[in-house]
Amino acid sequence: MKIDIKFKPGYAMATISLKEGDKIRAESGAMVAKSANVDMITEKTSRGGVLKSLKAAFFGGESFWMNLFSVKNGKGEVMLAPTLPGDIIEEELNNNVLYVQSTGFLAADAAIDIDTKFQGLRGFFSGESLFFLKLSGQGKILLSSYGGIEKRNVNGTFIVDTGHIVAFDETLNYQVTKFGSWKSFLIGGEGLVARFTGHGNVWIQSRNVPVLGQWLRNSLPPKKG
Amino acid sequence: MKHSIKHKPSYAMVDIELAPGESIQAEAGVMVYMSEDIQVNSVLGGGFISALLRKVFGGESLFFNIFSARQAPVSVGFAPDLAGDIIQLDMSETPVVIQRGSYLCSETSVVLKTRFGGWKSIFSREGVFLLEAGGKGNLFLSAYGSIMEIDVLDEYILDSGHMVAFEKSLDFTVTKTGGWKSTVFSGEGLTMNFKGRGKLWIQTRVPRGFISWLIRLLPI
Amino acid sequence: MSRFWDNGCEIRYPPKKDEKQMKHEIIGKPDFPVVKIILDKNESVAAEAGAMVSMTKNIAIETSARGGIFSSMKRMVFSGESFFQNKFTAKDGSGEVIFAPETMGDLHFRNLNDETLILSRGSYVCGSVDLKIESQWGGFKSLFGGEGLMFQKVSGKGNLFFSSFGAIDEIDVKGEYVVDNGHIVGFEPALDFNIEKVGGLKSLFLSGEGFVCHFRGHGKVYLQSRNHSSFAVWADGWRKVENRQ
Repeated sequence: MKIDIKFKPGYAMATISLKEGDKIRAESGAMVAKSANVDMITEKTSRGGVLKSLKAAFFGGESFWMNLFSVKNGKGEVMLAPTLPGDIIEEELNNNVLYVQSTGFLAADAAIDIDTKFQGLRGFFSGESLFFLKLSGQGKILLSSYGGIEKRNVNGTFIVDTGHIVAFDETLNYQVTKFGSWKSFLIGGEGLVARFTGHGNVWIQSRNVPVLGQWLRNSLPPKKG
Repeated sequence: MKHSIKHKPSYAMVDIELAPGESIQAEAGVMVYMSEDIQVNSVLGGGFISALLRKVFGGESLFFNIFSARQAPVSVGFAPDLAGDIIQLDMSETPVVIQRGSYLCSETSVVLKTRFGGWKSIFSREGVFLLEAGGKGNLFLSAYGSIMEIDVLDEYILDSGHMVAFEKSLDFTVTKTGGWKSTVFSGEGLTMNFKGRGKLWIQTRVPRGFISWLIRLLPI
Repeated sequence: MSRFWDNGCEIRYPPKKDEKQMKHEIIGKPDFPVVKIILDKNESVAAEAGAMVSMTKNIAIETSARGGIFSSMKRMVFSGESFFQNKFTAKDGSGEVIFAPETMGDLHFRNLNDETLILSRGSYVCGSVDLKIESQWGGFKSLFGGEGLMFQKVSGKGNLFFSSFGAIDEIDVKGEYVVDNGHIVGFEPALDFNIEKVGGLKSLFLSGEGFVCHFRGHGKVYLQSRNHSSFAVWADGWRKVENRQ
């Protein structure tokens, strides 16, 4: 499976070249275009937890359903893009485990296990609209971000505003706290931060989804209840 | 202090590396990440009254955070709220006048004060109060959209929503575009007419333009 | 005179020999680009109301209801563009105007040589004064495809600058190609097309994909790398809910 990413970092789009036997699973709504011989099947995410996934569907996070693309004969291509403007990065899992924030998952090789059921990683976000998926297995994955994406290798300590986290390795320890003391939390303007310790990678995005949501909330007219 | 601006021009983020003892001052709420061992102090900006004015009219919050490296070098990343660009200005001689919301961070040697923009506007709430930056050191500005630098040689006309910053050597007046009828119907708001010699920084999009576009698409 | 960042953005330089083009530069593709139009003395360019960013001092602006009151109204109601259009003319010498679209997205150039382009509503930024813009294009007959009312027809001889939500990719269709409706910016009418659902009935309701357009034949499709309808739905989720008391 060959992946080509264009238009980084502002409006990145991934073109996946498929040959017979290749299968890629993408988040609901990600398809931009495809060649006529690529098939699409809609299926449930693996072992999805019903309540959490339904909540996610209402808040525009990862929908319960995902689409599987494959080609029966010859070669084909499918272009994928996330809903939000921003970046895309390709990574390869090699039997390691990655926690991916809900708006950060774009697509993965069908061999990758996507678990939405696990209840861990509480407290990362102050609302319920963002949560983490657990990815494991072997194969390529595509992460998307709101903003530009970069991979930071942590060897010690690293503190990140939680709205800027796209994904991180399971090998890292973390602690979610308010930024600085209570005083600086109230007046310093930062929200929640995650303090990562240990060894592993963190993928961060240069913009913050809850902040975008809040700006839209303040700028758009209210709707009828 | 070392800096690098990444993900230009649409989602720019600035990485600042501080040597022990160095500090950087930033708008509240812009910190993305930091390595351990950074001291953070939250302070009221530049005197209470001007900070209050800045909050009410200037669009910046009341408080700044000052990040300082203690014994070890540290790195800290800053990004603005909205999509767009970041540029670095090396302040030395000419002070720069900055639009509300475009200030991101600066070395503590850069001096900031508020300034009255000088025009009344019924169409545009932007620019009633501006920030003036002087002194020496690095100043980082952000904008909605990408930032273009224009060398004004004698006269230049700019839609006011696109103004990010300009060198104080430029004079400006505010006019309506092409006469009253054109203002109401032609869609341009107010225009700033710059005269003199100096640099002007403009942003290639306007946040309310995005909101108007989005509102047209929303389901009722 | 302007300088710009140097992260390898694309700047388009003036015309190929056989094309009559306005002198222009598209600066900063595909992230928040602008187009700088360089006008000779007495040369004009038409633009969407509100598209002007900046200009040199000797440009005169005229406002009119383009094509007359009724067709302008139709255009406003159906195509999302403003009622009025501006015409910028350089007087007493050459001048420059910089235009930008409202939205986050790309800016693209297309020369029309007695040709027609089907273009998405709201995409027109600026162009030659003589181009004809027809507000309605009933080509997409599908009742479900809300995008049907969202296209207009641009034709004639002249230069066209249009925008998108996301980056613009040009696809030269040779045979068949399937594009999600929300990602279509424009296409050449030489192509045959069919509105379909992708996948089966279950996919229609659950896949998150809307309708797709199945293009057949030879021609260009301009697609955008983000879906404005999906984004609007996502943004809608953040709106405050008014409580009726």
